Amino acid sequence: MRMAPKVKQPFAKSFQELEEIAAWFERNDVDLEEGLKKFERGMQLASDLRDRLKVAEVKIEQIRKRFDMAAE
Amino acid sequence: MRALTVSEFLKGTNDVLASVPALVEGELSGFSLRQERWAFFSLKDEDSVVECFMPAWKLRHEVADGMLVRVAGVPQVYAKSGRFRIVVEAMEPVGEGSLKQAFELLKQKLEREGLFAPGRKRALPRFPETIGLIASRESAAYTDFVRILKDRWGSTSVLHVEVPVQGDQAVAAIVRAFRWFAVQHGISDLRFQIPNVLVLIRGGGSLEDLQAFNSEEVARAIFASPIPVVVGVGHERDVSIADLVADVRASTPSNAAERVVPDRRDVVHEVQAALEHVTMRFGMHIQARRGTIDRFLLRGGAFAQQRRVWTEARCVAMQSRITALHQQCVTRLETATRTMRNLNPTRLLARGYSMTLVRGALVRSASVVRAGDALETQFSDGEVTSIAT
Repeated sequence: MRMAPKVKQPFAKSFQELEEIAAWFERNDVDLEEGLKKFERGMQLASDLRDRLKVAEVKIEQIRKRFDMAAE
Repeated sequence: MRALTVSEFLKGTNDVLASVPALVEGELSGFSLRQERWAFFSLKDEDSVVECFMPAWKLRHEVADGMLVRVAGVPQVYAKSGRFRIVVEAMEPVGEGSLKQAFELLKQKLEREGLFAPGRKRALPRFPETIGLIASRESAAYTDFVRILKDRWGSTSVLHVEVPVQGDQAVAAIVRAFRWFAVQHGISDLRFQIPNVLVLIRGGGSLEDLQAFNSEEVARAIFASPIPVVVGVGHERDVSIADLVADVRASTPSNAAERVVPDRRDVVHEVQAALEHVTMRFGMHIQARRGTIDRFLLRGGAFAQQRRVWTEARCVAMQSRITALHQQCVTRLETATRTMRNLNPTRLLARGYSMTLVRGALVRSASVVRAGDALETQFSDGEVTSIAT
């Protein structure tokens, strides 16, 4: 099965959404059609999170301002 | 020569005195603050005493009678009273004892004001997108922090602000750095990544080295920061004032990296667990639904029988599709975890591989090694230096 294209939201949001889907399935009455939609979304999120977790690069940007001098 | 008036005489005397450098060390005594604006005190040694005067706003340190202090200022005779005094520009405690005492006084003062109150400390975001780092790039603290950060987590960026962490420029530089981040935080400019957390770190040092981290100005800058602050001072048993004001105190700069981002390996497991949980629950729901349909349709006749077979087939198809999807995901997560583990350089070293460096650079080919070169070989548990022949 093809995985959906990259999810364009911050890591924290995707993770939270996955937790919310997990919580949703705790309910006693679950509509199967909606459940399938949520399930697929959960797969997509998990796949995207997994990809992002594989990234080993931390970008470090040096701020050019000199903070040890009076002029800002 | 005509005689001078008293005022002329004193003015002339003060002109001469202004050229006398006054950098004096002595014991502080009789300290008093008048109307919150003027500080009066004396400086003494075993044999002598001199009066001092100082505007209160120039006081940068907490002081108390008995403390050894150093003052810089201008000697003068105060014309209105005819008394000799030093008009002090700057005063600081000197010696371990005085520094400790000043530290205790400041700590008590800030605690009374509520700067250390646990209730005001803010929680850190679990997955910060941007980290603001206030540190000196030359220090081991910086290298340790960045190394641990990269090992633990990958989806974050760091905005590094270079500051001296000791010396007389340190306090002003650190305060300006905090102020700059606060200003950026106030501007909701989408082009600029506003940090979700700030980290202030430095290595260990003497009480004098740590002065900036025990200063009132830095403490207030941390307290006023709209962004939560993590402070990590290396390998110190004693807690600094910056540590006490921080939202989170890390025990070392490396620990600061551990507090600020999660370990990706833990998060992979959490994601996997969430997925498995969802799959199991969904499967349960389908099972439950099948049971209900079964019981309902059994009451019907042949038509109902046909319906039942059709519904059951659909449920089975859905079930196997879900199982297949789940298996795919589990496999991918397992592969990802294995790959990550194997990429870890420490694991590679433990498996018998070693890294060789020549002139500080990693050697990938024998052709770059010349006879007589010093080779530094890193194993998992240490280094060996050898000379190439």
